[in-house]
Amino acid sequence: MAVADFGKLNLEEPPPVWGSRSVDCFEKLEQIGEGTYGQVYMAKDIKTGEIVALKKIRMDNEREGFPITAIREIKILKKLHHENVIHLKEIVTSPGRDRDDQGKPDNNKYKGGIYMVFEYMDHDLTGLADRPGLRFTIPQIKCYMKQLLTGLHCCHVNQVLHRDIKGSNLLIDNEGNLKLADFGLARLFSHDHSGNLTNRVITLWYRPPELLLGATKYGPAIDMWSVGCIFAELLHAKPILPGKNEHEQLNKIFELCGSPDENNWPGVSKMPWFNNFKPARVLKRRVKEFFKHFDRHALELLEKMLVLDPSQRINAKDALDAEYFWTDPLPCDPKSLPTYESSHEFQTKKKRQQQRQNEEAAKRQKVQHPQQQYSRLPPLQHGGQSHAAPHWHAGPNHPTNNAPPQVPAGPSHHLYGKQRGPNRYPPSGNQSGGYNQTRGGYSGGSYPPQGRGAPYVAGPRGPSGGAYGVGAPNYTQGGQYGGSGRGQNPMGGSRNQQYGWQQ
Amino acid sequence: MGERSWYLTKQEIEQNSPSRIDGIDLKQETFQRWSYTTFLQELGQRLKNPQKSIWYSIVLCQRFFTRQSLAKNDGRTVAIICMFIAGKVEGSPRSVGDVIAVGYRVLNDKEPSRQEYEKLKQTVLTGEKFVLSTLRFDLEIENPYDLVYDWVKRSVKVDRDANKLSQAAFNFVNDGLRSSLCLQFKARQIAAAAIFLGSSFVKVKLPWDGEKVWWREFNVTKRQLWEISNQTLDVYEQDFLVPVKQSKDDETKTCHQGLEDHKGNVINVADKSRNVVGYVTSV
Repeated sequence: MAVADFGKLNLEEPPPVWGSRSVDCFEKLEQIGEGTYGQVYMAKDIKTGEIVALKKIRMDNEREGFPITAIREIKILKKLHHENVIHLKEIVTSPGRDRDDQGKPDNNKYKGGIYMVFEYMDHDLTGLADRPGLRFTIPQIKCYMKQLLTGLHCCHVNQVLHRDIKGSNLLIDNEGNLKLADFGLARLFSHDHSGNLTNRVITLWYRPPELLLGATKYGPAIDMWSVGCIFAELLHAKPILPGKNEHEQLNKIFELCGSPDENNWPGVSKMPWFNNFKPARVLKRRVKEFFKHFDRHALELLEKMLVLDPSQRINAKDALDAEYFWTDPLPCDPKSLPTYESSHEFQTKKKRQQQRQNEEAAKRQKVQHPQQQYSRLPPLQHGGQSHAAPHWHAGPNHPTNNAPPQVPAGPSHHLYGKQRGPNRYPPSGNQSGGYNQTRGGYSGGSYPPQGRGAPYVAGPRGPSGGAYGVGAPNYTQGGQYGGSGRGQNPMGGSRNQQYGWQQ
Repeated sequence: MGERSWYLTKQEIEQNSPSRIDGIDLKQETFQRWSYTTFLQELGQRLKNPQKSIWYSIVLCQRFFTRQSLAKNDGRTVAIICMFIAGKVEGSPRSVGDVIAVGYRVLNDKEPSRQEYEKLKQTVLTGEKFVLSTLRFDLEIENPYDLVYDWVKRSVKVDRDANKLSQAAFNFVNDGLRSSLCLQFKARQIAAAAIFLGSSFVKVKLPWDGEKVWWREFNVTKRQLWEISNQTLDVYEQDFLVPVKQSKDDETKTCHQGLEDHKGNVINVADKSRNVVGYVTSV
C-alpha cells in the first residue's frame, strides 16, 4: 500500500477512540460565563451524569490557528494535579457543521469548536464576597487563604506563575474547596529568572509594584503580592488598591507601603519606569496604620506579603507556616463551611440586567423604592466554632432553581460599591478602571468590578432571619440546619447572622 | 476513556502500527520515520527553532503515527503541523506562514505558488486540530536535553570534559530521534543512554562509587541502557537503498541527502561506540 500524497490528512473520520471525545457526550444545561475567551456552559456528562463546566475555546479570530494562550493553559493544567487547582478533565471537540457554506456536504470532522472540560464549581470568591449581607468568619477566611496558598505553592514548585490571581479566578465549590482557575496568562518560569517576560499581566488592582515599574524578569513573588491584596480585601471587606490606571495604582501602593528607595528595595532606581513613576515626595509605610483593625497575626502576615521589594516578599510556603494559620481561631475545615446558592458573574450580571429593567419600569411608574445600598461586611471576629452555624443547601445540580425570591432592590442599587464607610480609598476606581485583564475563573468575562454585586435581596431578614430567609424551598428539606451533625443550634439567634442575608 | 499510554514496546510499534494495518510494511514505515524526522530537524534549524522545540515536534509526529496511518496521512504535512504546534508549546512560536513557506522550500527547493501556499495553509490550520485531537491534547512532553545538561554539570568536575560530554550526548540524543526510541523510552532514560554513549565516545569517566551506579537517578535499568544504546547505534546503520528506489523523486532527494550528510560524520561514532555497548554488557 502506498503512503498518502502530499497534503493528505485523514479528516473524514472522527478521532480514534483513544483521542479526544466529542462534545456530544455532554448535554449543555445553561450558560454560566461569557467573555473574550469564549463561552462557558454548565453541562452534564450524558454517560455518567456528572456536572461539569465546558469552556469553549474561541477560534474565530485566530489567524494563527489554535490560540497559544489555550495551548499554554492546557499544558500547564495537565501538569498541575492538586486539590486546590482546577482540574482539567479532558478536551473535547465538536464535529462542526455537516455542510459547508455553499450547502455542500462537508465531511471534515475538525471544523467545529474545541472545549475544555472542567470540574464544576459553584462560586468564585469575589461573587461570594459581594453577596449582600454575607459575612465571612475569621476561620473561613483562614480556610480560604490556606487553600489559596497551598494551591499557589503547588504552582510555584512546578515552576508555574499564575499571573492573574484575583478573587474571580478563585473558584469555590459547595464543599468549601477553593481552587485556582484561569491559567490563560500563566507561564512557566526558570529559577534564574533568565527569560524576559511581559509585564502587562495581572489585573491592575492586584498587580505588584515591580510589574508596574516595568520589570521583565520576575518570579513567583508577583503572585504573592496579589495574594496579599486578596487577603487584605477579605479582612477589610473591599478592594484595598483600586487604581484607575497604572500611575494611580502605583501611587496607591506607595501611599500604603511607602515610597521605594535603594534602602528598602535595592536596585529599584534602575527599574525601567522608575523615573517616570517615582513619587514626588517621600512617603511613609502605613500598612499597620491603615489596617490597625486587623488582628496581630493577620497584620504580621500581610506586612510580609505587601513588601515592595519582590526578593524580600514572603513565599507561599513560608506564608503557610505563618503564626496566623496556627493560632486560634484556626482555619476551619472546608467541609464545615456553609453552602451558598450558585453565584457566577455571568448569572449575576444577567439578573442585574433584569433588575435594571425592573427599576426603569418602576421609575417610569414613579414608584418609590426604599433606598438601599450594599457593601461587603467585615468578617466577624469570633471563635473557631462559629462556622458550625446553619448552612443552606442549594439544589445539588441546579442551584439556580432554588434561587431565593428576587426582590427588586431600590433604584440606587447599581451604585453598589460607591458609597462606603470611611473613604480611605476613593472607590471611584470601581467604575471600570484599569482592568487590564478581567476574566472570571471560567468565564473570561471582562466585567467591570461593579458588575459583581449580587442583584437581589434575599428574603426576609432579622435577628435570625438570615438562615430562614434564604429560600422557602429549602426549608422543608431537612438537614439544612446541620442535619449532617454540624450545626448544634438550629434556632441559633444572632449566630445565624454571620452567614446571613441580612443587610 | 482513552487513557492508553504513549509508551509502547518495540514489538507493538513494529507489528501493530496503524500503517501496518493499512498494509504499509515495516521497511517503508521505518524509511518514512527517517524521512519525516530528518525533515523536521532541517525545518526546525532553518526556522532557527531551539533544539528542544525540534525534539518536541519530532516526538509529536512520531506519536501521531502510532495512532494514525501513513496510508491516510502524509508524513510531511503532519510534520509541518507538528512543527507549528511545537513552536507554540515550547515558547518559540513561528507564524503559520513562515512554517509552511520554509517547509515547502526544504521539500521542493523552490517557493510555493500563491495557490499552493493558500492550500497548504488551510490544510495546516484545519490539520492542527486534527493532530491535537488525535494526540488527545497531551502536550506535556519531557525532553532529555536539560536532564543531560544538569547531570553533567553536577557530576563532571572539569569544565572542558563536561562540555565535551554534553555535546556528545546531545548528538546521540538528536541522532536517536530518527528511531522510534522516543516512543519506547522516557526522556530521562534516553538521557542516561546518551550520557553513557557520549562518555565512551569522548572518553570521559563517569562517577562510580561502589554500590551506587550513576544511572540509578535516571530511573533506568542496565538492560534498558543497553537497549537504548543499541538502538541508537542502529540508526547509523540504516540502509535505505531499497526504499529510496521505490519512493517518489522529491522525497528521495531530501532523504538521500540527509542520509549522506549523516553518514560521513557518524559511522565513526558508531564504530567507536560499539565497543561501549560491549562494555555495558560485561558490567
